[in-house]
Amino acid sequence: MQRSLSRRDFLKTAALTGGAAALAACVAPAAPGSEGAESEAAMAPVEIQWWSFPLGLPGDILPHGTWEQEKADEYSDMTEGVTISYQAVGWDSIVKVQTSIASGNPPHTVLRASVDGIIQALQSDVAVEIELPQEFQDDLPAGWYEGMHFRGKNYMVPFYTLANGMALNLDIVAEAGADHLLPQAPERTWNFDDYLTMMQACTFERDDGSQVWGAVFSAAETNPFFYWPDQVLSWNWGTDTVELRDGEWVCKLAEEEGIAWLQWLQDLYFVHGVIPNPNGLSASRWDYFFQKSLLGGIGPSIGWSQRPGVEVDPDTLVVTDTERDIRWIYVQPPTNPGVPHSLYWGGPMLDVNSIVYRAGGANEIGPSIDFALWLSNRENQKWIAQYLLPARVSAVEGVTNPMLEWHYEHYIPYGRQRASAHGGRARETVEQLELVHQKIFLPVPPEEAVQDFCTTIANLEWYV
Amino acid sequence: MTDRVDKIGSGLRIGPMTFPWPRLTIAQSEKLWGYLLIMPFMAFFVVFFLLPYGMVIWLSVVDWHPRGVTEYVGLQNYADVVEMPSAQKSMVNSFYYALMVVPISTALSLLTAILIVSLRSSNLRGFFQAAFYLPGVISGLAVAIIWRFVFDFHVGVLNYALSLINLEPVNWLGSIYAALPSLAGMAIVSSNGVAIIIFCAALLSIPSSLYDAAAVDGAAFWRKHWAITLPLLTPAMLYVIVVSTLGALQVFVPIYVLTRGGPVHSTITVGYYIYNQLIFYANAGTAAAAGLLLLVATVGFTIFQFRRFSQVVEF
Repeated sequence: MQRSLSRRDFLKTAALTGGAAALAACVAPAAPGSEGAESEAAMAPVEIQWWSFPLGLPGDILPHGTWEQEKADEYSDMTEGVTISYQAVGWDSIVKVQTSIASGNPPHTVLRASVDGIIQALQSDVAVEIELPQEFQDDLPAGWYEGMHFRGKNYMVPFYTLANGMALNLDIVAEAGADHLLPQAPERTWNFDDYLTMMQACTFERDDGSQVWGAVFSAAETNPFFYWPDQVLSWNWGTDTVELRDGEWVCKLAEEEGIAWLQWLQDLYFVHGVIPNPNGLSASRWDYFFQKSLLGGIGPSIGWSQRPGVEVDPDTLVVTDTERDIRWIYVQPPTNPGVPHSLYWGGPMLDVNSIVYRAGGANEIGPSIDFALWLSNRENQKWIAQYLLPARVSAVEGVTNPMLEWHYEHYIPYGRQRASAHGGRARETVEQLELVHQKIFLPVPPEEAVQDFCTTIANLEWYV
Repeated sequence: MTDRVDKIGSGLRIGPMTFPWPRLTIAQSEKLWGYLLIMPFMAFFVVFFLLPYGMVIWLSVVDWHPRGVTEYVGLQNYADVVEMPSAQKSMVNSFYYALMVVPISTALSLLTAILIVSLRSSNLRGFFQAAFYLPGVISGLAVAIIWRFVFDFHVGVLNYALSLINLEPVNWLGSIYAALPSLAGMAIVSSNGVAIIIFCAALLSIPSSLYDAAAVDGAAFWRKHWAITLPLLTPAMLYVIVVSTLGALQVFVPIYVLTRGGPVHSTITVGYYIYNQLIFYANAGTAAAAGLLLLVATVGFTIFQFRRFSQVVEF
C-alpha cells in the first residue's frame, strides 16, 4: 500500500472531493410528487413561492413587501398545509422571473406580472390557464376580463388597474403666468402645439439662478423599460416603436409619423430649448419634479393623489402635496389629429395581475391559484383601494371620490401596454429605443437614428 | 474500550475488524498534517474558484436553458461575441480606456511620489501619503456618484469652472467624444493612492548614497532621477502598470453609475457588456464567452507586459 500521498494525488483527491461536495450541494431536491403515490403528494404540505414587484403603495408608511408579508403570513396561518414563502423583488423582477424560469425554478406565483410573463411561461411550458370564478368576472370593469385573454385563454388573476397619466405642477404654471394655457376641465385635453407652448412658457431661470424646465427626457435610464413615459407620448403622437401587421412585426418608428415624432423630440432641445440635454442627465425627471424644477410630464398614477399628506380639492381636483409643498393637476396627454383620444400606460394586460406558474408538482398548482384568488378577494381589494385603483369594481362602490371618477372616465378605458410586449421582444426593443434616444440628442438626423433600431427589429425572432 | 483499540501505527482494531493503518515516519506525518491543514482552503478554492471557472467554460459552449433544452453549440457563443457590434465596441473601448488611464495615471503617481519623498518632514510625508490614499478606501460606487455632480452639464463643478473663464460648457458624459475620456480622467484623478504608496516605498528603499555620489559628480535633479530613480523603480513600475492595466480592462462601476454604456455605446466596456448580456438579456452563454475572451486578452496583455518590460527591469 502506498504510504504517502503525492502532491499530485492530493490535489486530485481534493478536487474530486470538493467537486463532489459542491455537486451534492447543488443537486436540486426532488420535485414533490415525483415519487410515491399521488394521494401522498396531495396530502403533503405545500410551500408556495410568491414574488411581488413594488405595487406603488406609499413607501414611507408601507415599504415594499410589508403588506405582502402580512398577507403571506395571514394566508399561511388560515390555510392548513399551505405555507406562503414571500420574496419582495424590485425593478429587476422581469429578468429574475425569466432567469428563474430558465433555470427550472420559477416561483409559483408572481404579483405584478404581465403579458411578458405569460409569453415566457408559454415558451418554457410552465404557463397555467386560469378560469376566474363567475362572481369575479362579473365584478370587473366592462370588457376587462376579455382584455386579459392571451390567444383566447386567461392566465392571470386581476389585482389592480393602472393608468399613469400626465401631471403638471400648478405652482410653476402660476410662476410663469401661464394659467390660461392649462387644458380646461372637465376633459382637460390638448394637442402637442398647446403642450409645446406650455413648456416654452414654463422654461425659465428664477432670480436665484435655478432653472425650470418644461419637460425632462433622459437618454440613460437605469432600466430601459423606464422609457415607457416617452412611449406613451409617442402613441398619442400617432406612432409606436413596432406594430404587428399581417402577422409580422414591423418597425413603425421609421415611418413618417415615427420620424416626425423623433424630430419633435429632437427640436425640444436643439430648437426650443425646453428640456435639459438628455444625454448625460444626472437626475431623474421626478427628481426635477420634486425639486420644483420641472413643469411635469407622463408618469404619476392616481396613487400619488391618495397618499398620506396629499390632499385633493373635490371641485377642482387640484392635488396638494403638503409635505413637499407642491400643487399639481392631472391632465390628459396631448394628442395629434387622428388620435381619437388620449392613451395611457395601463390596461388589463399590463403588469397589474397575479400569474401562476407550473412550479414543483402538479399538486401545487391548485393551492397557487387559490392563493392568487384570495389575494384579490373583496376584502383585500377594499384595502388596496385606499392607495390604488382596485380591479374589482365592488371595492369602490359607494365611495364618493371625484378623482377616482375622473380616472375611471378619462383614464382607465384608454390604458394600453407596450405593443412590443406581445411579441416577447420588449427588452430588445426598449434597449434599441434607448440608443435611438441617445442618437437624436447628439444630434443625429431621426431618419439615420432609427436605422440600427429597425435592423435589429427585422432580425429579432418574434413570438407572434 | 482499551482492549478493543490498539495503538495508532499498528492498526486500529474494532471488534473483529482490523483497519490497516500505515506506519508513518515523522516526515510523512508532517506532510500529511500539512495537506490536512490546507484542505479547508483547497475545498474553498475548488468550490468557489475552480468550479465556477469550469461552469463559465461550460456555459460558454452551450445555449443555456436548464429546463431541459440546453444544447451544446460549440464556439457559437464566441462567434456571436466577435460578430456583435456592441461587443466589438466594448473591446475597443476597454483597450482605449486602459491606454488613456494606465500611462497617465502611472506617470502622475510617480511624479507625486517623488514630490512626497522629497519632503524633509516625515510627518508631512505621512500626511500626503494618507491624503492621496484615502480616496482609495471609499467605495467605487460612492466615488462615481460624487463625480456625477462634477460632470453634470448644467450644475456640475467642471462646467462652472469653465464658465468662470468664459468657456462654453462641455457635455462631459453626454457627448460620444467626451464621455470615455471623462471617465478615464475620473479614474486617473481618483485612483492613484495605491500606486503612490508603492512608489513612495520603492523610492525610500533606494540608498541615499547613490544620490550623494551623483551629486558629487555634478548630476542635477532630473539627471539623478533619470539615471538612478527610474532604473531602480522598474520592478515597482512593472507591478503598478500590470495591476492598473488589469483594473482598467475590467472597469465596470463608473460605467454602470454614470453612463450605462452610452451615449450610443461610446462608453460600453467589456465588463458592462457582460453585465448587460447576463442581467438584461439573461444570455449566460454570450456573457460567459465574453468573460473568457476578456480573461484571455488580459492574460495575454499581462504576459506581453512582463516580457516587454523584463528586459529593462532592474530586479
